[in-house]
Amino acid sequence: MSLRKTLFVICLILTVLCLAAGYGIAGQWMGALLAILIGPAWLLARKYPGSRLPLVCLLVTVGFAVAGRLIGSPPLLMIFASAAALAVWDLVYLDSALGNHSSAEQTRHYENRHLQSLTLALGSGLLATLLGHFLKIQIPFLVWMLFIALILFALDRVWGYIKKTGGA
Amino acid sequence: MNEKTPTIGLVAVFLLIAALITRNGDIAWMILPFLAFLMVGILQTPDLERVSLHAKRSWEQSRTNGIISIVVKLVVQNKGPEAVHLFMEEIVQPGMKITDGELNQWVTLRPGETTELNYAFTAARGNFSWKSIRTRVSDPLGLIETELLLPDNTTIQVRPQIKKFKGISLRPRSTLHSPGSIPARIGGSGTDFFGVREYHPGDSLRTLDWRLTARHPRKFFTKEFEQEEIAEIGLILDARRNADLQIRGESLFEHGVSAAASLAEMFLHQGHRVSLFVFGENMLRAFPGYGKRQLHRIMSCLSKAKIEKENSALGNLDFLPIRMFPPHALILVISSLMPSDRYLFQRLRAYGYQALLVSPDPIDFAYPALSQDTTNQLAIRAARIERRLRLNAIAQLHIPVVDWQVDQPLFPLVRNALTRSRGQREL
Repeated sequence: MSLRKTLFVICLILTVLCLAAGYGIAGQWMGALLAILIGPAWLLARKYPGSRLPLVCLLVTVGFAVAGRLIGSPPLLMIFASAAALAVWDLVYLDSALGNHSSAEQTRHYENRHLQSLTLALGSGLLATLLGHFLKIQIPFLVWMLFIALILFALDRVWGYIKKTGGA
Repeated sequence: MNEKTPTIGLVAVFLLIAALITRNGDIAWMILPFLAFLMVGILQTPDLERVSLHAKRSWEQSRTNGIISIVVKLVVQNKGPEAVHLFMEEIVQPGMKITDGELNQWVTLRPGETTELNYAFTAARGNFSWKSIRTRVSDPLGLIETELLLPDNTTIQVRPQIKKFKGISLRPRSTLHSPGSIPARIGGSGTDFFGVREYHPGDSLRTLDWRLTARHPRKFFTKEFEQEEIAEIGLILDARRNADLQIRGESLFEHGVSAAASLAEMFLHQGHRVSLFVFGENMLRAFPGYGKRQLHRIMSCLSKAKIEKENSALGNLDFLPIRMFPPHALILVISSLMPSDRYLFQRLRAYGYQALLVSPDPIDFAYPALSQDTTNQLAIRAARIERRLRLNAIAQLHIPVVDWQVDQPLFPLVRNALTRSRGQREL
């Protein structure tokens, strides 16, 4: 089994386990059962990557994580579940793009670079999340609003950059 | 940009709204992995001004059991100073049947590194041309993609299949004054005895008829030989939508193309001057010429010939520019024939051309695909009578007609028709 497939399985198990454990800890056994059912849905999404199924699965998983947090599941499990879902979603597309053509050296190199970037992105994101979660800082409402405005501005800049660089 | 970036943005906005509505900080923290994913992608997006790629497409053609197989190789080299994450994709054109290899691949090219994309395709006939190689440069996560069309002009021409015909000894009404193989019915420097005439100063002494000279004192006679010249031949291929028929993936037009190619090859091989006109939405022509270069021109036209969409202006052959062909040429029309086409043949006769119609039989071609019920049988019978009347109308113009059932060999039919036409002329 190639590295990307191994990582897909690990991340998928992590997503399902985190969600199921979170709902289980909150005493929502029905939720835990539904969370387990997300696993087969992801496998189906991997089979049909050209459909909207991967997007739906990602939204459902993140939605489950949000709902789990709201009903009192441990926040770290939900954050890990959503981050792992992001990795699963990305690996579905990577697997679809590479298919069975990963024999060439340059294609293997591309796969390795992709996986390294994914690890970097998720690692830094989770690290920042953990730091933010453990360092309890009382942020005033005004600062929150400024932070949101900053995010929206950043997203706008990103969009502008994409347009400028001719991304189609 | 592909659909990954909007998806990440959508999830981030969804989480932000959820966090604001529920005023839950933990949900807000969930955004960070998604934003980090987006940022890593954006930060690693290559600067297009520093990307320098060189592409080349090469190909080899081979023929196995009459099927032409073309192996295409796309080579892309990174000439820039940085590694590039690249998606290469080949543009498949209509008529190409991919038999082997890959049509796209994701690669990472370090500076100076080269990658190849190999595939093979078969095609019955066609002109396949590319002006560029399509690539997409992106970050390693594939979030922001930019399409780059790397210039590369390549044309692959798959010529129609030629059936080698033996030579036909033509006797056209008029010949072209150039040494060839057709007896021209005029005295000159040939091999066959033509006649005797009085000696003219300058005649070679070797051609003096000594016996006749001996019988006529003080007079000299010279033997004349029949001059051998070449023929002027024009081919007209009908490429109108209505003249074609597609049955079970096979096209009647392709048989016509193959016939035109085989006849052109045979006539050029015999040394005649041949021209071609393809009458359809795209008018293609090869002006009169000789030899291998002319064969190349004709094959190039035939490989490009295709049936386009229906055009009412091309309903009949009235608009065919027949004056493109030199006067008194032998014109071979390859057409399955439509009701109004008779006027073309009248015009050909009026302009003094000698004509021959090779008509692939559409009824016989479609027959195996039709159900054998009574109604169909009657319809087929009626269609056959109608076609026979149409062909007879053309034959009445003293134009030989070849009613060609495409599963039969064409050569004997054409040979017989041309021989018969000689007989008709002599009558």
